[in-house]
Amino acid sequence: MGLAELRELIEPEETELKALSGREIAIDAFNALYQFLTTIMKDGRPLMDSEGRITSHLNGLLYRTVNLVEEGIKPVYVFDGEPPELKRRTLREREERKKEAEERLKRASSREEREKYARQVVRLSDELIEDAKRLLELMGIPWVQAPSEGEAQCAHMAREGDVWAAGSQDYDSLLFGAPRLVRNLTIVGQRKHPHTGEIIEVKPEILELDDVLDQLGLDSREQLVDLAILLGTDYNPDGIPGIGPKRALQLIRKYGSLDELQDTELWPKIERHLPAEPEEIRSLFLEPKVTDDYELEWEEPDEEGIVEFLVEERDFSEDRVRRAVERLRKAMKELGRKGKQETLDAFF
Amino acid sequence: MTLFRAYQEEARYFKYAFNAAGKVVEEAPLIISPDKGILSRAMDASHIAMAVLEMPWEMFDEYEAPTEEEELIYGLDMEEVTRIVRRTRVTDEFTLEAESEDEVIVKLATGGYEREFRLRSIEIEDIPDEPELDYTVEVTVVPDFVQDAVRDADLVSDTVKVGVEDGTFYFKAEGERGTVQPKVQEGAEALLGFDAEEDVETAYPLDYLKDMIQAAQGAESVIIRLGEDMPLELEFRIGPAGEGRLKFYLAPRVEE
Repeated sequence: MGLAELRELIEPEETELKALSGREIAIDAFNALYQFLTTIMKDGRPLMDSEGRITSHLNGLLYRTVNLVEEGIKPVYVFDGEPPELKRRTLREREERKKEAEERLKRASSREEREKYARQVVRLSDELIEDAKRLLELMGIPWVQAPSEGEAQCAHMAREGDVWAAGSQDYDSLLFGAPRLVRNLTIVGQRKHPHTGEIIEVKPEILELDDVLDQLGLDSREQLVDLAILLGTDYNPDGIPGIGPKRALQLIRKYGSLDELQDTELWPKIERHLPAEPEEIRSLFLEPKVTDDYELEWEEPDEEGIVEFLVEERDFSEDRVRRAVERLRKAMKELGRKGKQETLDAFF
Repeated sequence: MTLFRAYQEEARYFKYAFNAAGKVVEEAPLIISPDKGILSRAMDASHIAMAVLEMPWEMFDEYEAPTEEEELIYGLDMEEVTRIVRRTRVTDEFTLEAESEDEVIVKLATGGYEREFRLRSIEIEDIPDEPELDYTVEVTVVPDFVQDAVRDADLVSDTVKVGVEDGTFYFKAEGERGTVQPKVQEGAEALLGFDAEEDVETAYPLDYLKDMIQAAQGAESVIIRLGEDMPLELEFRIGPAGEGRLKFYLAPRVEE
């Protein structure tokens, strides 16, 4: 669905974590947490404490965040707020699919099957979200509550220059206007491919909005949004059946916008599949609800607080947690000392 | 038909300069200017560093400049270039030439045989201008000092401060394990030139500097230009009589 279908037309720039040293990156928290929940598993189940409460999200958040800070990256996690009305239908459909997967999970016989369905049933419940915020606070890592879409808030912060980039696996941050998107941040390293089981080396990728527009031959973000609407977004997940990525790109390049397509014979078909006026969908990307009410400060971690939460309440190994906190403390101190890496762009 | 050709009895200058540049930038244009020689300017992907190469025709033992008035521009995948450089001996006879606009040819000759490498030209999106900077400090030092200073600093940190205070030019690195401070004073043999309007100290990322100093081996001297919270400029004079230049610009780390 969506811009991901254009992947073969867009060339991201592969980089190394250390090249991002000194950069603030606004990470789409829901996106990262889903990743932890679906990839950090044991025997086909998410990690759990002795009371059966899930801990994969806390495991990922602690260890992967420490890795980032050690590379000099300053992460800020941005949490989704209320979804826009148009997204509710998409969410309801996802919920139905999860229920189906739950039934299948009950009948799953092999570990592979169990893992597959276990990934599909993952829900980010309020408890898990509260856990994540609590851990971030103890770690001294800032988090921001978005009024609506997290990715829109990440993009807003990047546009304001408060962070260098948005961090997410989804391409939507670009639609929301992030000048720069970093993918793969929280899964860098050797990872097992979720489907083939093959070991792959995952590196961070940078996508610059201007480059993406250039590569697609588009003039503006508005055109990119129109293109995404044809391909399907969170607000119209089906896109326009029968219009594939290449055709959609051709149409936007030729006609310039969805509005210009209204006079063509294609329009009735497009209109039939849009859940709302193009203008309404478009404005969710171009003028999303965001807030300026945030402060980005990276502080000394609270070691005893983290131990109490993760070790005493959630059965983490004390040794491992203390070692991670020690690494985090060192890295945080180093962040303060190293200062912020400038680019040459400011010196022309 | 030969579009241009540059020949040198020893590949030394080419090897060191391209080795360092190839570690700093991922891709670079090769600009063949009828009057100015062989040039290149490129920034690395994160825009933290820039490499600028100027090899005037006089630097070469033999050359054929392009006959047309326009510049020829090729795009180099510097990883490929670095691979060839690794296969180059400093004593190899070296030729850089082109027969078409699609590829450049590197020829290495030694012991009566010749090896030819053809590099397909890649598309280069834009060629950056050089930044225009009002430096307050310019020092010239022997290459060994810069090499030692950067490698020493690397023992304790991944950032190094470069500065001038009371006629002393120094590097300073501080880390968990301790501090190192290589320095050279005005009047010392290793300090070939010293011009400072004010005392300055600015921090730079070491991983880039480590790559840049690879060029020091082929250079007679290194000019370093500095200013408070400004980029660092490293200039290596290259060629038999220092006719050519390899310059690097490196963006600073600034205190928040």
